[in-house]
Amino acid sequence: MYAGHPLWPTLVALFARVSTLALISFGGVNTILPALHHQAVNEQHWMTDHDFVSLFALASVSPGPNFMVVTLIGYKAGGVLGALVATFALLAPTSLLVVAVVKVWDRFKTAHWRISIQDGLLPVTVGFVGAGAVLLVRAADNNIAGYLITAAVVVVGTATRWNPLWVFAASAVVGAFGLV
Amino acid sequence: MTSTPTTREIFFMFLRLTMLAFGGAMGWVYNAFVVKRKWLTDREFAETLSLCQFLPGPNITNFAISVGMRFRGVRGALAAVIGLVGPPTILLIGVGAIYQRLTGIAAIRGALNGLSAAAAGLFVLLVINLLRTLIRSRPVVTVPVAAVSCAAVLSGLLSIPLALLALGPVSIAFAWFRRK
Repeated sequence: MYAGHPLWPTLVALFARVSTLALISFGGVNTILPALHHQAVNEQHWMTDHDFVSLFALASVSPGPNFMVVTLIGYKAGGVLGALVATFALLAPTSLLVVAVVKVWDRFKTAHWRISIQDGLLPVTVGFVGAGAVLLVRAADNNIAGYLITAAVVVVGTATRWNPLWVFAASAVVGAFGLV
Repeated sequence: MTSTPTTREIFFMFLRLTMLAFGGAMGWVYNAFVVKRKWLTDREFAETLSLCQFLPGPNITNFAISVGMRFRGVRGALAAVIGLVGPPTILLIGVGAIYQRLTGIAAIRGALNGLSAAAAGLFVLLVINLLRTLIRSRPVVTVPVAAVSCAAVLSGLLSIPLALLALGPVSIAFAWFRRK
């Protein structure tokens, strides 16, 4: 935000981009992370690559669902109003869809076409989440310490029953000493 | 036997969920709604979850809306969503407001770099779990589809909406004919 520039074009852009992406976020908001990244960093120039992954990390460690990185993107783009517009744009259209479908769900919950769509979309959207992972690792890991932290979370998550929050705490300490 | 919560109970349940559940919200929800409070049966939970995963949007807000509607209509749905995203929205606006100043302090900027590497690791972990799901169900089709979709998005060849349009129908057709 720059003083003197009207805010409303940013708010309109936020609403349009976020609500459109929300309506195609089959499998959750993680699947549209690469598109959010593309819009925020490359298209609209709301933030740098480094800001994007920092905000993603802040949303991950803050209470509340992780998809609320969208709230932080909105804040960075358009202040308090931007945060509110982005959050609303993410939730309102899809919530209305749920309200519309919940009453008729019984009729097609076991329909062949319904299950085929869900099964068919899954691998496509897993690819999107994979792309999101690559983008985040690229933006977050600038040196060997970064890659080691990322790898540590993966190892702890796959091979142990420890809470990954401990690795988060350790990584913040390592980072505070300027090593990452 | 199941019981029906009041609007106030719905609000506070989702407020607790948003404040307490770090990662894996759905496991927490199952425990709270089915095991402890008996607001939903196993079967109702599974059916609601399948609806939430089928529709676009965050699974957890879709869940909040559909159970809120089921228990107390539109008021219940609003109570659920506001409990879930209201407090984190306010909190994250606060985080957004101090973000610029935070990154001005070297130690905090470093800690944030460490957290970013850890958050990227958590996202990689998510991809690994999703890939495991794909490998369990017709991997000959699903894994290559995921790889193509990931590569198309990463290379910038297709945006996410276009990739859904291009790959979705093909993948859905595979799922359709396999199940027939």
